[in-house]
Amino acid sequence: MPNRRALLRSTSCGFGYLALNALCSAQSKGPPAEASLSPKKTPLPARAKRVIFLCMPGGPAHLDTFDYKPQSGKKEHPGSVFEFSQHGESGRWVSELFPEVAKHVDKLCVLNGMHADTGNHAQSFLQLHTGEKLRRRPSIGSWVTYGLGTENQNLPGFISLNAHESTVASSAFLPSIYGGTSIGVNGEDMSKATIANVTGSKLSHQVKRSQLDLVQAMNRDHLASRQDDPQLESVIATMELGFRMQSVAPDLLDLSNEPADVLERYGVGKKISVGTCRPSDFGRQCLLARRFAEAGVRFIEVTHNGWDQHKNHRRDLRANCESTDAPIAALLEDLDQRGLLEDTLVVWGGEFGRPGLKPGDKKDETGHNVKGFTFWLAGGGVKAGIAHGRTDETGARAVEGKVHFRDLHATILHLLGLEHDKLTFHHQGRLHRLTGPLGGAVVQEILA
Amino acid sequence: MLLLCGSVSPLNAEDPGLALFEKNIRPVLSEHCYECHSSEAKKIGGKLQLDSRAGILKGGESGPVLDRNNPEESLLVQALRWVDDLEMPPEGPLPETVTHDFVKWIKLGAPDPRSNKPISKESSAPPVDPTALWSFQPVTVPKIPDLRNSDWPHDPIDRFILARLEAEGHEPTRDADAETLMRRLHFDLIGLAPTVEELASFRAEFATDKRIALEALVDRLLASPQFGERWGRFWLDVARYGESNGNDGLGRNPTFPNAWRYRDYVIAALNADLPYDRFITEQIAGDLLPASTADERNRQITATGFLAIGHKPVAAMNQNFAMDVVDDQINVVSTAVMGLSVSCARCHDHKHDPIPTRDYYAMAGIFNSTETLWGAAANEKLTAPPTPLHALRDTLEEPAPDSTKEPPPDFAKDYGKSIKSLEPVLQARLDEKPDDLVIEKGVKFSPNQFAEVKEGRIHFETPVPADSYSVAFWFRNDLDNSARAITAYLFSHASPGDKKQTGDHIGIGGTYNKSQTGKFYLWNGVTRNQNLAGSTVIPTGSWNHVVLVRSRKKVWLYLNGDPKPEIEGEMDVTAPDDRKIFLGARNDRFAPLQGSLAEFAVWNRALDPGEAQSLHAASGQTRRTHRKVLGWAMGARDKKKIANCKINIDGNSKKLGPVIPRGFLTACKTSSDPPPIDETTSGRLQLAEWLTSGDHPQTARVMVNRIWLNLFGRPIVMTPDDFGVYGARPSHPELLDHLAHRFVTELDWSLKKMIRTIVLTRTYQLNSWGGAGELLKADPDNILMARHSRRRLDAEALRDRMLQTSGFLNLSPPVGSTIDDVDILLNWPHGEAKYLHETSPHRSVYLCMLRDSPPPELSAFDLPDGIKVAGKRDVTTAPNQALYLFNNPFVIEQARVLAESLLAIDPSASDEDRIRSAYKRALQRVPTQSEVVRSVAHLREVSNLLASEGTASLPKAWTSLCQALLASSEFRYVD
Repeated sequence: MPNRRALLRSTSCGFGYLALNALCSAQSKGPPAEASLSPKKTPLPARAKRVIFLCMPGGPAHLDTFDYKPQSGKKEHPGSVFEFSQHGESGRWVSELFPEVAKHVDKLCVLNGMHADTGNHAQSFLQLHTGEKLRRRPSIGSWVTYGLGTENQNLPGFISLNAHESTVASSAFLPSIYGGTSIGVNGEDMSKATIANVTGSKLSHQVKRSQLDLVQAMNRDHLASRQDDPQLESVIATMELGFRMQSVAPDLLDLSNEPADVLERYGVGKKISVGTCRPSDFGRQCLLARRFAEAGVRFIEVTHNGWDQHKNHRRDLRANCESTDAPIAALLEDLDQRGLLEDTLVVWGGEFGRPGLKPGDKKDETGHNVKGFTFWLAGGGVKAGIAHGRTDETGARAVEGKVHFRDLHATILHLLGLEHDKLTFHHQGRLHRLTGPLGGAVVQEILA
Repeated sequence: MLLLCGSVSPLNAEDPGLALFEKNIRPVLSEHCYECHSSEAKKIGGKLQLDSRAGILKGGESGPVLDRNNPEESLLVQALRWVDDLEMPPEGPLPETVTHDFVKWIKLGAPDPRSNKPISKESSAPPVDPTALWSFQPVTVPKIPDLRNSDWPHDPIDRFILARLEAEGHEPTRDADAETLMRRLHFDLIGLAPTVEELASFRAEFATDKRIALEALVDRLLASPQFGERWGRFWLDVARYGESNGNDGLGRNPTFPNAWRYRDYVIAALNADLPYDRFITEQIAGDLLPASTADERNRQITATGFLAIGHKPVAAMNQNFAMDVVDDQINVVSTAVMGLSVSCARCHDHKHDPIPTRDYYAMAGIFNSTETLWGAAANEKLTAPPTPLHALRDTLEEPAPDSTKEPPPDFAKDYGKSIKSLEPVLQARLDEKPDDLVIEKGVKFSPNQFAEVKEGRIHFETPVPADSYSVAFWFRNDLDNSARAITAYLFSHASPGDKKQTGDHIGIGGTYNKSQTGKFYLWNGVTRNQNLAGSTVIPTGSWNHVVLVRSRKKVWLYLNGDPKPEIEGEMDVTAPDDRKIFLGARNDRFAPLQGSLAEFAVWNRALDPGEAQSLHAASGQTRRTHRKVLGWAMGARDKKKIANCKINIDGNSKKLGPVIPRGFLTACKTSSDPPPIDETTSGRLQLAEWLTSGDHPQTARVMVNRIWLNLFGRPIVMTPDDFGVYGARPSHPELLDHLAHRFVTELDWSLKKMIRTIVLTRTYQLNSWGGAGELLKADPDNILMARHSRRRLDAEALRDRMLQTSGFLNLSPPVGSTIDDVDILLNWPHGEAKYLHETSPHRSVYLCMLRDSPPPELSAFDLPDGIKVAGKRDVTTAPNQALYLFNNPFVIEQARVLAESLLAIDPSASDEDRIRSAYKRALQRVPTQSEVVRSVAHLREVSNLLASEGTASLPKAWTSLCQALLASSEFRYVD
């Protein structure tokens, strides 16, 4: 780069990208320790470029959704209480509660042998997100953004929609730029939710542009009189990026130009409030997730709260499934149609599952089961139309193909081209990683 | 415990002990123990290896396992028996016959034919580089280097810098000019910009005599109250300061309404230049230090807030909660003061640093013998169970133990007449059953004792309006204030049995709200829920006189004839039409008074203050004042029961190992023995004494490194919170030791003197640009410090500078915090947190620093999370910062105010004049002609655009220009 500064100075439009590229390039002499969101080369070949995590807090009942346990033998035992039928070419069993998702069962890779450490919601939810049950650690979205950077600098790299709690988006000890950007938290009206400070100025776009031009002219003068200073260069770049985010993000959040049939398919605006099922406008979340994925956001977490239906198992589970069924199906369909499923990993699940009920029993109350439950993955380099692992005949514990959260984490990172044991950060006297001191194992059997 | 080592009998094949070993011991070890406790084990449990003689004699992380003199007490035997939570083998206790064999074998001296050499599994691990332990070596007194260019240095510090530059063949850049220096010093020392006028006069002084001008400036800034606000914030980062707990793991975030007192303590300590050794000592053990005045005592106990303000995980379903609190304390003390993270040793010997688990539990014993006072924490038992707080009192006297029941006052003979002269609508002496009042069961009348009440109550149809009345009575409360949630309700003006308690009530606080314990409060029912509390703690068993006066929304409560009301304030009138007056309990019978009542009277008007006082004066009693509580502080104090801590195996408080005597880190050597800790004290004072002994290897090094960081933007040790094996090595080790040594010996731990010394060096005064291009290439990270590093303003300084520019900044510190009367859970979405972040003209250090809900005016710029010790903040540059500058209402408002004031300048002023004024205010300089032209062009362009949009507005166009100035990099970076 013979005369980078001259080049920068002479280019007024697109300056941000130029400076950014300069910052990201290997020759850049920027401070080596500076955190950056620029895309990074992965150590392993990446099968997935981004993740959509459909987060289901509360503990979805695996036995009445994706882990069919019919009665076997004479004596009645706990198992599935809803009807199941086989679907797709794979002939996988799916509960009657997910008629729309069932149509896409050939895209799913169902993990029936999940298990974790604690049946306490908060701790298991934290472990699902950070690998650690009690202490404050970076969430998986932060680790991924730290490891990969992000593809679209006009948008945050990690977005969490309707997050159930703040730890979901926490970067903890990782630099704060890897933290998630929250859009709506815990039941806020998603149609009004937005990114902090993305709007606020009442000036028109033209006035803002004129103002930015003035700021950037001042910044260039400031830089010019101070030799090359990577900090000041990166200020100029981020001002430009912020300016673009200001127009890109609200546009992405604005669904008014989506055709009516799309809104219908996703069930945007449909809000069911029954028992534990909170109105999450999950359709809007899924549609936003698709739009963010298309725009190159690295990690998108969407949330439907909640699956902790203790007392009215049947009623509340039905409501939770109804809230999420069509939106998830529409998302899978769109990702597939647009060729995005190839390199987008979709993950569905919650902090644990629930014990089964006896179908003949009047009892309608379930608790927590952390010893065996179900996740499913789709796209992003996993085998489609398979089930891996299984629970025993009552669904109480995983007995084959067991996958711990640590293994799930290791697998997700692997699919993204990252090595879970090498993606580390030094903090408080030691190196930390998502999979913790015990480490995880990549579930080789499910890799396509 | 007497150890076996060296006392083993010589081996002999005929030895019955050996036979016992071969027959009954070895097979058991092999079958039940080797899986985890041998060289073959995947991971050696508790560092205990049982497959060699040496291993079994040595013991493990929990100490020796064999005790010949006391075989039954041997850890090994205890573990086999599953006593005391140490349970081995994990599958279940072995039969008693097996355990008995072990006892017998140990009695025989544990004869063991196996190898005497430990079979080391970890010998293949790479040995730790001895230089990695540099921070554990004593601080040296390095020789001041000789230089080729001996004219350059101002101070020995400069000689260390130049020596390395010379050695590497470089030269320092040129000196900064007066403006750059003044600006740098202002931001570094007080976090605010100088004015144009200050710059001009400094430039003149600087031209006359550089040194004198600089010294005068530095001394002025160090003496400014803004110094403590700037440097106090640095320490608050280290002290993981926060005004709420942060998400406890169950999504609940209790507020800490009294944390701000610790914040104010830190700021005041920095301003007073409290020596650093004293500063540390007060924060670790302020409650144990002698005090000669009440103020001093209050200050010292407030300092211990350092130990209490940490983030706590949920207590529910967390058997390790108590040890989690201890862990936070060990962590903050060791990381903040020594730059060492000791926490790993909670579960295992530190993998890299020489910190064994024993040392961790030696420190844990100190904090386990300490009671941590964090307060009610929203009264959520599931989160952090409520604790008391330190009471800040107006006297040094220790509160007397609750007195015994006082006899009733000997009232003046004509007291009744005096009361009557004020024409009450009802008057009852209560020395006999009054005719016109309803007396419920549980009230006894006698001429000597007046009305004695216990679960009893007096009530009657109210003779007075709800919004204008007065009541007066004497009472004695006999119940201890710790007995129940509310100590007593004395009076209600509400409807019978109303569950919402709509109306006026006088109560005495109990355990429910620790800030009101033992004090009067007025409350107007669930719906309005307004609460006004007094400050005097009413001693149990004492007779007191109360007058409540209501006049519309205003209420006063007078106590014992004091002309200054105990409570004064506004409280909505809520009492309904069907109200009655209740005496001795609430309208719904909740929390009845246990004690006595006398000389009761009611008026249908608001008595004036003179009348209210006369009601006490006429009683013939002398005026008495009880202890005043000025406020409450979070902090720590010694527990009544002092105890050493047992090792928690794997950090599990239910799996206990041996008791470890309280003590400190064995790897940090001081020249004299560490102070002994006796049975009567937790050992915090000794811990502080050890840390500040002057030759502690880390304490001074860690602090001078932090000071250097805050002045240069780059520390000498790049990991200021990690001086351990994994941390960075110093770039200038001799300089670090020179500074540390000087800090302790020559400068007597004075932070101000240390800062003064450093900023007067030539190194500090270098330009941040210039210098040969070669050097820039050779040392892009400025490790050699041949120039000054350009730095971004941190979140607080940026906001303060914006307020300063708009003219909105109020430099007087606010009293307390917006949170100081809020004891609630801040859950998601933030809801309540929003009003706690109301706009404020005060400096940013005073904003409400809620964990997990930081002030939105600061959060875009790398604010620490208040959970980990943060000696060095991240400095990231991200688009959300641009969004903040474009769209945050705070920024727009400061731009608007600045624009308004520019337009308010003399109407004859030209646009160019106004632009020059804007530059002076924002950037403290005169714009160049081309900058003026560019700004005029912007104004014109925006005006035209606004006109075409149909929203032409001069202030709007100027606001756009002003916002651009605030968003510019020149505004946000210091050279």
